[in-house]
Amino acid sequence: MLRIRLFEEAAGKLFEGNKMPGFLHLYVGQEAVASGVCVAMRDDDQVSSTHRGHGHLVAKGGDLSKMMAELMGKADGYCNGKGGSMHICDLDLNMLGANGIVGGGTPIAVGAGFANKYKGNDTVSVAFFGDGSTNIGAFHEAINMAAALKLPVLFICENNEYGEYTPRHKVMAINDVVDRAAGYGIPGVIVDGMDAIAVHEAALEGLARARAGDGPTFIECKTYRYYNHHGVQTLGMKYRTDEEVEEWKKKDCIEAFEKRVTEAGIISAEELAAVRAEVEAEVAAAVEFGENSPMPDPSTLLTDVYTEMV
Amino acid sequence: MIATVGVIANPLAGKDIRRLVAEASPTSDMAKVGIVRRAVIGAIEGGAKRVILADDRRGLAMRAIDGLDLDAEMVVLDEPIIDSGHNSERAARRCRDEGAGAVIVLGGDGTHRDVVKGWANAPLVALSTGTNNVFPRQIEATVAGYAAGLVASEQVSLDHAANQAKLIEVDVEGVDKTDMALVDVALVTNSFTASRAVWDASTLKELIAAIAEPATVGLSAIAAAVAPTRRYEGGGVHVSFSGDSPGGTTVRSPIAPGLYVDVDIAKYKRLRLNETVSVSGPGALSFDGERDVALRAGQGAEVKVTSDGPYVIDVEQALLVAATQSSAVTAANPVNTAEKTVEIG
Repeated sequence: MLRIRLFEEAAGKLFEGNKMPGFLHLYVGQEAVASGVCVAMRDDDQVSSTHRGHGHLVAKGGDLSKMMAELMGKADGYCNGKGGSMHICDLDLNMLGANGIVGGGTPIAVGAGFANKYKGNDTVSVAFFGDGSTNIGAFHEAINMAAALKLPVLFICENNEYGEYTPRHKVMAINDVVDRAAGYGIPGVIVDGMDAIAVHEAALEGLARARAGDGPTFIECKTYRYYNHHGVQTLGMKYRTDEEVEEWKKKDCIEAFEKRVTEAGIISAEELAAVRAEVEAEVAAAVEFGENSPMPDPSTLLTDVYTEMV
Repeated sequence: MIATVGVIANPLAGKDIRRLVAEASPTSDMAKVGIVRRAVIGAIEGGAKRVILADDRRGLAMRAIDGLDLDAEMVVLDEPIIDSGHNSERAARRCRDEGAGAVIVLGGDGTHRDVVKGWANAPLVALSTGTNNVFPRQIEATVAGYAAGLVASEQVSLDHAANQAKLIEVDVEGVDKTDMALVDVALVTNSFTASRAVWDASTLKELIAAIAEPATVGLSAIAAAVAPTRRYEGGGVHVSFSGDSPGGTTVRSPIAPGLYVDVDIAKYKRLRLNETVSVSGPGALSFDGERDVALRAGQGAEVKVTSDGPYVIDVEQALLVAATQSSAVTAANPVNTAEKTVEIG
C-alpha cells in the first residue's frame, strides 16, 4: 500500500511540474484493494486493470523505475514510452495491461479465464474495474459469459462512488454494484475497501472458489479516491463535497493498517519507519530513473505497433 | 406530539463475506426498497402522521416512497455516505430527538446493535434483512409497519405490545464509552477486525450470550447447545472454548447460515443479570457476530448481561391488542384483551 501511495504522490508532483504528459488518474485512497487482492494471488494469476491502474501493477510486483519512466513517456519505460499511464503492462508479471477504455479490461480477464479453463490449468484471472464500468455493455457480456461457463475469474469492483465526475446514484438505480451478481447467478459480497485485511480475506475465498472450479465470484470493495478523477486536485470539486473527502480520509487504509499492526505488536513503529524510508528511497530512485531516461527515438515509432510490417 | 415513526434500513445488511464462507443469501436493494415501501404504507395506515426515513444519499429510502400518495409528512434524513454502522447509530439518535414513537429497523443483528448504540431504549420493530437474524424477526413489513403506526399513535401502548430486550454491556479497558451487543459478544484470536464476520470456530476463545435459543443461527447457537436461554429470560451464558487443549465437550452448531461446525467447549456457566465476566486480549471482540474491537495483549474487557435493552414491539401482539380493542367497541360479544404472550424474566 505504501509503495503505491508514495509512487502515486511522486507521479502527481511530476504531473504538476509538467514533467509528465497525458492524463494521470491517481489510485491514492484505494490502495487497500489492489494490495489486499494481489497479495492473495499466485504469481501465475493474471490481472486486467483500468485507467486508474498504477496500483494494480505496483501490487503485482511492478518495477517502480520502469513504471515511472513509462508514465513520463520515456524510452526505458515498461512499454518504451508508447503506453503511458493508461496502457502500461508487464506480461512477465501476468499483468495484462491497464486500459484506457472504461470497462475494456474485464473482457480481457474473462478471455484469460477461458484460456485457463481450456488449458486445464488452475490459474485464476482477476478483473479490476470501477463502479461506472458495470454500466458498459462489454462488462455485461463478459461477466455473463464467465458465469455461464463457470470460468476461473475473480471480479473486483472498486466502487469509489464516482464515474469520472458523475455520482454513482445518478447513473445507477441500485446502491450496491454487487446486487448485479445475483442477476448473473454468481455469489457476490461487499467488503470494506479501506481495510486491506478485509479485502484480503474475501479475495482468498474468491480465488479458492475459482481454483476449485466453482466459477467466478464478485467482490465489491467500498472505497474512495482522494484525488480528482484526473490530476492532482483533491478539494473544491463541484461534484463532491470537501466534507465527504475528509470523512473518507479518516478511514485511510494505510493509517488504519499501521495502527492495527503496531497495536497488535506485529510490527514496531521503528520497523514501519524503516519500511517507509526504504520505499521513499525506491520512489526517489524511480523518479531519477525516469528523468534521466531518454525520449524514444523517432525511428522506433512503429516498433511494437504491428506484428509484421507490410 | 405528532405520531412519528422512524425507518432505518441498513443498505449494507445481508451482503457480507458470509455469502462466500457460509451459505447466506444476499438481500438486494430492491428487496429492501420493497420492504421499506410496505412498512411505510403500513405505518401510515396504522396511524403515523410523520415518517422519518434515514437515507445515506444513495436514495434507497427515497426510492422506497417514490410515487406514493401518502397522507403523512415524510422527513428524509440526509446522511453522508461513509459505509459504516455510524449511519444507523446517528439515524437512531435523530429519530429519538425527533420524538419517534416507534422505529422500524431493517437489518440483521449488527444493524440492530448500531441502532441501539444510538438509542439504547428505542421502541423497535425489528425486521430481518441481515445474515444471522437472531434479534430481528421475519415478518411481513406491511403489518410490521402497521404495528409501528399503532404504537407511535398511542392506539396501543408500549406496555401492551413490547418486551424490553436484554443488553450486553462491554467496558473495554482504556476506552471511555461502554460498548454493547444484543445477542452475543465473543473474544476471537484474530488480531484484525477485517471483514468482521466470524466463521472460523477454531478462533473462538470466550463467548457471552444474552440470547441462546436453539432455533437460531450464529455464535449464540453454540451457547444454546449447552445452556438454552430465551431472549426474555433473565441472565445469559458464558462459554469458554478449549482451543488446542483436550477435554471438554464437543457440540455441533450452525454458526452461520448453512454452516454447521464442531466446536470444542471447555466449560460453560449460566450468568445472572449484571454478573460481570472479564476477558483479556490479545484478540478481537466480536459483537453480535462481527469483529469490531481489537484488543491488545493484556488489555481487558468487562462484559455483563443487563435488562436495559430496547423495547421490541411484538407485531402480532400489537395487532391483536388493536383488533381486540376495536372489536370490543363494535362487536356484541367482545373478546378479552389479550395478555402479553411472553413475560420478561
